[in-house]
Amino acid sequence: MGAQAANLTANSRLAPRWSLRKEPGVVELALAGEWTLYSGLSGIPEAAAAQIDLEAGQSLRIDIAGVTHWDSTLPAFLLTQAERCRAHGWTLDAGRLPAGLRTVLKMADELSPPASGHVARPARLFRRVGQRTLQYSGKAGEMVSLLGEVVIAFGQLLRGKATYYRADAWTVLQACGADALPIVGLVNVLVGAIIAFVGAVQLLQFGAGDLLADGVAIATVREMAAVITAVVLSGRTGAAFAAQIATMQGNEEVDALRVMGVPVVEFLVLPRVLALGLMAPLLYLYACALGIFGGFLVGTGMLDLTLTSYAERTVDALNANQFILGASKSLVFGVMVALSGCYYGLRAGRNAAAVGEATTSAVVAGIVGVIAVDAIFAVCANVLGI
Amino acid sequence: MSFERRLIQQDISFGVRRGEIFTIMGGSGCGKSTLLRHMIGLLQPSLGRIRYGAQDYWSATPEQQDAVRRRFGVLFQGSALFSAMTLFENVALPLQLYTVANAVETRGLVRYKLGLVGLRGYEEFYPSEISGGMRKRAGLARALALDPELLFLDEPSAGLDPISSRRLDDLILQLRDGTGASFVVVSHELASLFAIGDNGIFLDADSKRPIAHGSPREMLEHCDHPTVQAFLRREPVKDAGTHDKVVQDE
Repeated sequence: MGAQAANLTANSRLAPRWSLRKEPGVVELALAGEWTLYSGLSGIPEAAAAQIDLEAGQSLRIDIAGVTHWDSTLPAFLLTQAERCRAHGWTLDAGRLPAGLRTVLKMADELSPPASGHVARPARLFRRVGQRTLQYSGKAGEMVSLLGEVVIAFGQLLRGKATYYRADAWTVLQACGADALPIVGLVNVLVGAIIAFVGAVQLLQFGAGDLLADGVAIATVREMAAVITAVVLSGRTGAAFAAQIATMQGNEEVDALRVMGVPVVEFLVLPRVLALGLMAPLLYLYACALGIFGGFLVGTGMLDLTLTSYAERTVDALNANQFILGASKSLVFGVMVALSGCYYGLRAGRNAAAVGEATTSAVVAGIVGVIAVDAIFAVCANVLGI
Repeated sequence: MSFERRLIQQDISFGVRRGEIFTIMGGSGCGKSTLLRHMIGLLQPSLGRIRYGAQDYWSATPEQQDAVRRRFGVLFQGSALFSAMTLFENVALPLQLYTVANAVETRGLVRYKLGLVGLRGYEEFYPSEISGGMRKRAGLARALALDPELLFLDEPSAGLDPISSRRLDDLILQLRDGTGASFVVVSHELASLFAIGDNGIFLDADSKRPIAHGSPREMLEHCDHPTVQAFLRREPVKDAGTHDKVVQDE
């Protein structure tokens, strides 16, 4: 027998507090003070969990005669005690509780089915590496499979049997092409100017400022125009594809298409892949012109080159093969960016967060893919002597 | 009450008593949900006042409006659970934002709130992993998080099967009895309206004003307005004239 007081604070009249009184066969948990969401329990649940220890078969009697004001905090605490009692084979004696409190406690305890934990345990490192590897190889396989479906759908289109929505296809074409002109133009002018500026500083050290136009032209046409345009398209158009299709997925629009018997790849993916595949080489040519123009601005401004001499050196430095290489790369980049956007959009989950995840994944995969494929192109061009 | 300069409803006046389940009824497009959005502070009425106790919501300072908002909870039509959060995180969010509960207390409170709606054990599930009825109940648990005096439920039974709908009605009644909270329920589900409604208002889309006050059962028995009778008896409207019978004015 004895009282064990805990958690007495200066403002003890209001602060929530508890004490244990032990009697034969029964331990009484006496609560007092204000038990509200806005007063806090100052660690009482933790202290109670550590100190309430009954013998099997004993009862824990709850007395809240000293409680001046309570809200959910009190039943939440008592529910925790009820669960502990059940787990340890003790009995919770709630007979002294007011009817309202007993009602809500009963509701919270009885309405729920037995807890069925859904806690994902973190996998071990090797398992995680293995899981990720399988995951990525699975994604790569799915992407190739989607490409195959697009090729089949393209065959259907050539035979005039593809199912697509003409107005949607035009909108996509416009979004991929005309709407992208300002951002593609701006970025490429700036990149051309940066190449020229960095090149001019180096070339002037060797008195070879005349070669600036050659360097800018080759760098722009062979690499930068195609890669920069693809990166911009990935961030702009690929992300838009992913977000749009992921939202459709969440709204069950994709399911509706399937139920209507409309081939999703023909309806959603093919127009986007074709649009970006068609527009990317055109945007590449536009980007080449503006990249060279950016270089020209720096060349004439910094090195006092004339328009004629800059233009002559640019034309001399370039040949058709370089344009063919750049345009080919752009075609592949465009198709890849579109496929990535559509793929992540189609495999998105059905919630708001999934749209963000799909967009991020599409952009990341698009940009990484562009750089990787560009490296393959560089090796192939070197081997072929282009 | 208007939306983008278009009159939705006018001459609306009613009060909700403590522990009462007040139903807002009417056909589709009559402005039930718009009225609710006005009541929860998402839309400002073009004329008139919305008072919580003595406090006029729209003439209050932002701080006072914050305090008023904590006195009510809202269950949106689509539950509006944050899809990137688990049920635990959804219910814990208001507790973490507005109370002094520590992690252990918050866990206990969330388990209790989810227990009240029959979802204890589902703390770690995401909204996309549970059924529509469970999402409604989880939304209700989040609305209950701060022990509101008043709960607004927008079409709580919409999209639920009859059994889930009945279970939700029972839950609302139990919560009212257990917590003493008042409820304002927007619905056109007749079975639910009759099961839970203590009092209510019927909004008419044609006249753009309330045409009946009282509990759904009182309206059924005493209101002879053809629109109200047609609605409550699930029959075609016999006479859509400019009838303006009010059962019980407040």
